[in-house]
Amino acid sequence: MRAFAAVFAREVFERRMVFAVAFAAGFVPLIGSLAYGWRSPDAPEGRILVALVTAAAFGLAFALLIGGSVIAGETSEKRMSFFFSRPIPSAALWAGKLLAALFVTFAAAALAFAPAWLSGTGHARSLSGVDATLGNTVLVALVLTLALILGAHAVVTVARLRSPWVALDLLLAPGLVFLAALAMRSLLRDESSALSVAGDINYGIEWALIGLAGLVVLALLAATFAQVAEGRTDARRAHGAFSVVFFGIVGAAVALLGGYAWWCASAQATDLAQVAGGVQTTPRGSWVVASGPLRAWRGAGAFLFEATSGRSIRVRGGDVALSQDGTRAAWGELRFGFFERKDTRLDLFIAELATGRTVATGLETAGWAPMALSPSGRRLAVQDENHLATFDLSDSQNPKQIAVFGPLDSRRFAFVDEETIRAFPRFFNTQIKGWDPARLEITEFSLSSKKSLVTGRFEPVTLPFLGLGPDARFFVCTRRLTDDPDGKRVLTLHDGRTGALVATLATNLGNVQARFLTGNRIAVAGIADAKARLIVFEGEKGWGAPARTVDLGPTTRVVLGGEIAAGRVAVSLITFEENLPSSRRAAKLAFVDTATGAVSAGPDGLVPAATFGWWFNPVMTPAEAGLPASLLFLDADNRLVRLDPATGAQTVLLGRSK
Amino acid sequence: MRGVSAGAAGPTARSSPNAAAFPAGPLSKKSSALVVEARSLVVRYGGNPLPTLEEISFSVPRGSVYALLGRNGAGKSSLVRCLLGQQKPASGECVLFGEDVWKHRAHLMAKVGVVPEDPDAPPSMTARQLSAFCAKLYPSWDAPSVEARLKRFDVPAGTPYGSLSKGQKALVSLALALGSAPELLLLDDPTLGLDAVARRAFFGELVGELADRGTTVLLTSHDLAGVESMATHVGFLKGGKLVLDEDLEALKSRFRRLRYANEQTEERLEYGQELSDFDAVKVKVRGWGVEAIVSNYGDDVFARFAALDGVVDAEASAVSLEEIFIAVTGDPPAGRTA
Repeated sequence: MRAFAAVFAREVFERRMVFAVAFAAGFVPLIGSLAYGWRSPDAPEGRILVALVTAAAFGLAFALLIGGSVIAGETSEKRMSFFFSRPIPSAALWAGKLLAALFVTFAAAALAFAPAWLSGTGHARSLSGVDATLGNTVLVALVLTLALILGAHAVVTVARLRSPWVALDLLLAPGLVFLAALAMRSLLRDESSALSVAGDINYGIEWALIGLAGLVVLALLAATFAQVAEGRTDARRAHGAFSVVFFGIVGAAVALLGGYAWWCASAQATDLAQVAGGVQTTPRGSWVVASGPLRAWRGAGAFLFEATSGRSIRVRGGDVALSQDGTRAAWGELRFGFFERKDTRLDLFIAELATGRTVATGLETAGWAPMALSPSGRRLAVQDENHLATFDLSDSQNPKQIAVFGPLDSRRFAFVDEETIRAFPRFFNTQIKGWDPARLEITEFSLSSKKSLVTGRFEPVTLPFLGLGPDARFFVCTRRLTDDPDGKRVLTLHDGRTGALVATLATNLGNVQARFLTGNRIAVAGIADAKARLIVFEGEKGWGAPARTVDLGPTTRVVLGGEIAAGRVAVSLITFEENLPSSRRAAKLAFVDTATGAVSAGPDGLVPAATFGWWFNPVMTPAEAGLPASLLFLDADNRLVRLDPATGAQTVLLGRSK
Repeated sequence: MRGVSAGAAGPTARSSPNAAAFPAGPLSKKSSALVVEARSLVVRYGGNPLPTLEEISFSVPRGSVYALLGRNGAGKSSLVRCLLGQQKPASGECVLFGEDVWKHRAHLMAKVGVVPEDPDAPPSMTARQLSAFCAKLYPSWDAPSVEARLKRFDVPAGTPYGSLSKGQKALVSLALALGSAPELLLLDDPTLGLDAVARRAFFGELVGELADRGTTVLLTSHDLAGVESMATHVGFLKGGKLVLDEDLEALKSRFRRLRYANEQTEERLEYGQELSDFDAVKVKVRGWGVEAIVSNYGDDVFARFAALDGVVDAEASAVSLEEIFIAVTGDPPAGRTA
């Protein structure tokens, strides 16, 4: 301690003139203020601002000058031997010199700032930000000053010690910066794509950056100590010790960061901690889209997942369009600059689900553009800005543009067949004054003739959501008949081409849902009088009146699933409104035979997983009965479970037990 | 005639492998009595395959004055840096007072006074400030003696170190080195570049210190005349190797200059055959006869030699350390020609 104090005192004493210069400079703002009017209203703030700039300039200049001379400079000038031939431990020498440099620099900046600050009013002081957060300001300034001193020291070490280690420095420094940037970019890219999956996801990148910066300062401290303790007066060895320790620590940190970024980026569907909300399914095939938080600090992700084989494809984008035959999926990924996402453009990707191969199409479109695949997946329609662009994907790597339609406002659209696309209004509030009636039009686009035709329109009522039936022949929508949010609601069936009302499927049914089933049937579920009810409609002629209504018992919420077998639908009754695991545990699964109305109980705690399409996929083509996707459920831990209806056996496919 | 590095072993052989050619005097003492030890020391710089110091081993007994002599670039300063714990050897170790100096540098430096080859004190500090700084570091610091020495040297104590002449800097360094009453003084070519007055003052002070306190001294120098009067032991460094390590008296007693007239006889057909009982390190045939320097002089051998048929007017005289150095290393000291 005595040696440390002696070194510290000597270093400070040697630079004592710095204090005098800084203190004199501190009066410059006061003198300037006198010249321009001491009592003018802006004078106190002006003095503080000038003093802040002066103090910052002094701090910066002294940090660089002293940092560059304090150890590396003395080593290169062969003056460190004086200290090493005295009974001064290396640690005391290192700490004494560095802390003295920090003290001198910081004290000089404080002296340059003090006169103006002391002469200022409370308001002027608060303007500087120093008054209110003195502790934090001092701490941040100290860390920054230390970083500057160490940075200057590092530069002088490389430049003046003239050892062969400079080659390693010049190779590793930019290399590690580049690798760290790559890792950060990967994390930012994952975070930006995860935001579309889980809005509150946080990869802690800001903290990773702060941590990395802090680690660099700590690495510089450790490297400087190694330089003093191991290098002593040998400039070459000192430089070597500095480089090995600094790059060892920073390299290890960058490797850890890179490993973490790679680990996050390489997540598979099986790494999902839970499946959020539900899964999006294809009418045929066994692929689903599942998303949710990933386990062990890996953020969140969305995946195409094959329920039978367990294969998965990561999807870094928003909505996924699936072809009805289950052979292809399409989605747009946010274009990413080196560090920032570019919200305005998306790159389009196609997944060949048969092979699990992802293809970059080379196409781009506006951010969050709705898109649809034709039933065979060979054609793609994308709304780019206010146009609808269509492409032939026979060769997915070289898509060919078929036609561009428009101008077109924001729509939902679907392929009626391989040649025809139909666009429907999106959710639209008709209470807004001056709305364009054209926004409620149903428009059909012909890929063969490259012409568009308005075929019908919606009634001017609110349209919470919409579901299209097979081949877009019909659609269902729920509507409120009045503006009263608690007013009477109806679920209606409309002609898919003209929008004409075909039938009213349900009135005043809460939590209402509908599914088109195989065999030209429609199932509607909802809550009426605190009881779950399933209403079945059969055949186009019979849609005027329900074929049967099945009372499922008291509950507060109902979830309508797909057909686990021909004519048998899965329905979960949930006692609590809150979508919490506890409510899931309270779920009662039932299988309803739509032909007879017979109800059989399934395992408790399961909720049909394939409910996603109701919200995000306008096409509600019924999945083939008994497809793997129809047998997927979410359990109480939000795990994706495959249920064998015959035996009741459950196989966990995705997610971890809590 | 045998060469100087031909591996002859004489009656005063020492254990140093580098000193095999010049076996030294009776210096083998207990390790505890050794203040400085270098053990198989090897120093390399960077990627240079040739070591700067190669397997150096020697020791300095307590109370002795060891002069390490060599030309510029022989490795003297590298050796001193290793002995001060400022440079880590590639292999081997340096031991001061029985402890590894690399590991225990700070603790050991309390017992060591150093005068470096290049002035290294902070240039902005005055001698008085340097003394005050050192006073905080050493357990016992004799500031008045430092002041007194500076006064004796006629060095201004209030002038910044950087403004002093080279000779004054060396004297300040010596005053500081002696201020802690060190058990070991390590002087790295301290008189290099000093004028005669400064050199005399320096060595005068050093001799006084030795007389007063019997401090152990290790000094490197190529000022052979200056060190000859005070050294008790010498080591010759050449090309990174210690080619001689010996008690100075023993060294000087076995080195002699022989002068004689040489007459050819029936038995001796060639010049030089008469020197076969000596290790002649240098032979010159002059008009009046032969002059040779031998490294294994003995009165009895000389008596036999002088009685040889054909050897006329043989006489033996002492040689200077400088002559021995030239004879052994083949090099003149720095700044001199052979």
